[in-house]
Amino acid sequence: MKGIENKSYGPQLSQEEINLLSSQVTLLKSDTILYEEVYKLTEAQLEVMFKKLHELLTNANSPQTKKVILDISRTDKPDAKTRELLKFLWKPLLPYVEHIFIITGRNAIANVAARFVASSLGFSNFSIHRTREEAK
Amino acid sequence: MTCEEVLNYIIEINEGRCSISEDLISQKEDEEHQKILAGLMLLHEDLEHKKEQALITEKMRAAKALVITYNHEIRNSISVAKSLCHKLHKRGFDESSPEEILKIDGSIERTLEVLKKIEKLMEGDDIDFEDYYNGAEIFNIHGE
Repeated sequence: MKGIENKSYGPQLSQEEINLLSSQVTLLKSDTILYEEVYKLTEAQLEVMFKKLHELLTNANSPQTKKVILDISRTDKPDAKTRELLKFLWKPLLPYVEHIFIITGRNAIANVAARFVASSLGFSNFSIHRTREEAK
Repeated sequence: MTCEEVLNYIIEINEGRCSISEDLISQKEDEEHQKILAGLMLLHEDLEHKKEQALITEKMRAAKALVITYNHEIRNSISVAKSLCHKLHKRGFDESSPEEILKIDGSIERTLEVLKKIEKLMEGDDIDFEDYYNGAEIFNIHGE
């Protein structure tokens, strides 16, 4: 399977692309999920990845709440409309989330955009880090 | 970054403009400076997005009121036509009615169906605007 490319996925996705996007959301440990965001956010791509995130978060056979490592270090700045969509997608998942570790790399815009989205959700259990190692 | 610079950006944003770009942010070496500029740029984008959304909501409200008003007016006229149609043919409508009257009645029924459909669409939220021609817009009905 090819890796994630620096392109916009969608609006129509092939089964191969759906599988590839789903594989960016993985269970690291029984209580920790890694969500590796793609380069360019699209509605279709977010729908696929949030579906997988929802599945992992709401799995009845694992702990009630989980930590999410959200790596957005390679992601382009989402526009205002996409930030609205992100709030809409995150909101129903928050009861299942213990803490979100947001990895932004050295990207100041991603750092601030993440704060904008998280703060407007009224969700305070998040922290922003440059690297995954720093988040551990 | 000085307080004066930040104030100038805030004044720009208040006027619906923003000269901060991703390129400008990346040129700054100081991370705190980058974050302040990024925050101001995103604030501007969010405010503009909210303004656009408010404008769409207002346009939709006005358009819906207009359509509902005209729908009501058309329905009144159609009801009068329907009633006169019945009067023209005292026996009411059946296979023996003159063809012209049946056609008029059929057209009235179709118009009423269209009006019903418009009323139903106006109740839903799956409508937005789409550019049509020369600055004019048409309703874009999702799923239609």
